[in-house]
Amino acid sequence: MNRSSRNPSYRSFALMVAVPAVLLFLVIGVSAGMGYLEIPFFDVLRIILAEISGADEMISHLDPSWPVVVAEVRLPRILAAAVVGGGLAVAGTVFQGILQNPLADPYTLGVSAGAAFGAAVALIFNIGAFGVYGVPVFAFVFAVATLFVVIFLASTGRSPDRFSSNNLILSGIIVAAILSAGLSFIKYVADEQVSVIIFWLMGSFAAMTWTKVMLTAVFVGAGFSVCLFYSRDLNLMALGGKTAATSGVDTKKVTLVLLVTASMIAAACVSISGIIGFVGLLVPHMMRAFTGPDNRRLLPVSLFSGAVLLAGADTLTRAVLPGEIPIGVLTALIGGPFFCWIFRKRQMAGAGM
Amino acid sequence: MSFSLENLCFAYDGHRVIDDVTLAFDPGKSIGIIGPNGSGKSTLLDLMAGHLAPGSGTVLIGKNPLSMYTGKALALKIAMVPQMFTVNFAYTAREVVMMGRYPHIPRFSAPADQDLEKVEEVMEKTGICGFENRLVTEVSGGERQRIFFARALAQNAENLLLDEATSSLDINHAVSMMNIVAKEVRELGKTVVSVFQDINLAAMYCDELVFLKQGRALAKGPVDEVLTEATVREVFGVSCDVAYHPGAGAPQVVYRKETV
Repeated sequence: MNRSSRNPSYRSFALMVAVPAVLLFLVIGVSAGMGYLEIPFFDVLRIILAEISGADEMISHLDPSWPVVVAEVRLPRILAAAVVGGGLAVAGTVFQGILQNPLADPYTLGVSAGAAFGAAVALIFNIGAFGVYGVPVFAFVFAVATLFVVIFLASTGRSPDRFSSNNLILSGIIVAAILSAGLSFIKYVADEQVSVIIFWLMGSFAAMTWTKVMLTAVFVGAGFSVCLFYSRDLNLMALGGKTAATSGVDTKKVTLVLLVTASMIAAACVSISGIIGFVGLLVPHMMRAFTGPDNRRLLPVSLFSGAVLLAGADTLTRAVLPGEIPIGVLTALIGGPFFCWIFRKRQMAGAGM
Repeated sequence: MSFSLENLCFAYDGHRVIDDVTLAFDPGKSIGIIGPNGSGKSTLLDLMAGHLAPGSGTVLIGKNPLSMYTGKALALKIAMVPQMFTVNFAYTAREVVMMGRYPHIPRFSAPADQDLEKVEEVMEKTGICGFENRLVTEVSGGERQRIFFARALAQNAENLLLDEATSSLDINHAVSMMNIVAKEVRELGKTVVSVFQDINLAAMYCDELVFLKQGRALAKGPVDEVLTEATVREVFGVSCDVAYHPGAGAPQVVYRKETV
């Protein structure tokens, strides 16, 4: 008797991953056809196949502008939204697991504040050293620097308190507060450039390039693998540090590795897209209702669901709504009230979810 | 010798919590640790589990210092039921018990037959079978304590550390849990070190008692020898009578009411 037949949940797990994976494929295909130029779904697939295989005769009968629109304009944007959505959802899952709080998010350690400050610095000084990558590089470097300052702050104190949930959250709040004051100051002195900074902060996938998409995908992919590798340890941490430690989990190492990895994922995502809230908070939280709290299932399901959600939301603002709303504003407008509802429900139910 | 502590000291911010404790625990013995609040009982257990590093002195498992063991090797030596715990994620009782098999299952592997059997056996013994699919976030405090106890048993380590593991159980479940522990000691030759609030329960189920006061081991030895009126008065400052009780099969303590 093999395991899959003995344990019916293995089959439902395959389904739980397959559904969002297929949905993601459909969203990408449909979305790439939507916009000012309407392109049929199967022509989009043909164009993608031709681009991958180099078989140009497949699309020789199509309007020559279509492949350019799909492959150079829409696909990078759609895939960027998918990668960022998946990355934020994975980072959120890990943060919720480590902080043992189902309502934590990827920005808990001040990554978003660091990225925002870095981007603002790059924008106001008009830094050209990295060409069009000046802003993302600065956002990423500042986000990672912030992360290490927060971890350094949280690592003081005697051993049982080091890296405790409270220590990490408080350190994150302190550092984020300082950075946001710095950001306010930059905005104050920025004059005309203040609008550029504000637009960056609201998040956008417009003018995406393949290089940005690929770089972010590498971070998200590598980070996801690390998180999946430690997912079982993360499960045990939910039983409390002492129980996890006597069960053979190196709690200090796992905490540190996962915090750094998840924050790196979040930093890479934020640096190309701007600040996009609520995806990393809500996706793992909602998916837990289907998968249960086991991170070995939750992580892959969150990855795909986050990708579907953000790619869908970005398509909504790009091609469905009459005018483009910044994606960070859209996710907050939809996610905020939804979060309130979950929070209320949680309070009424009493304890855990 | 399964466990020994040599001149163990530990301090929080200069305040001595464990003060020069030397103890030896033999395999196949159940040892109870008793003392007033703040006497260092839990700290002692945390030192033995490796959660805290001693200020000076050593903890030996067998012949090797505790610090030589890491991760899974340590998990095969020591399992622990902690005193206080909150779980914020809705695992089922069965999933939590299965987590006790962590050191036995390679990463990315599904549980083997022996793991599934051990989990079934432990859930049967501890009476969790009746609610194995309920969520740890929704069961009562006593049920959660039984689930964590079962998880520690499933780990099947040589030594079991219980930090007031019966504190939120009713007497029926407390007695049945201690019976299971006694069986593990007798049949599998395990060493069990438990912190107790209830001296009588400790006297019934332990071979030896250690009385802690202000971080020092004031009395230690077989129950019949150390459990006396004088010891209880010295450690807790309470007057009592101690007499052998045939039903308990051990000395029991009856406290004297202070006449005003």
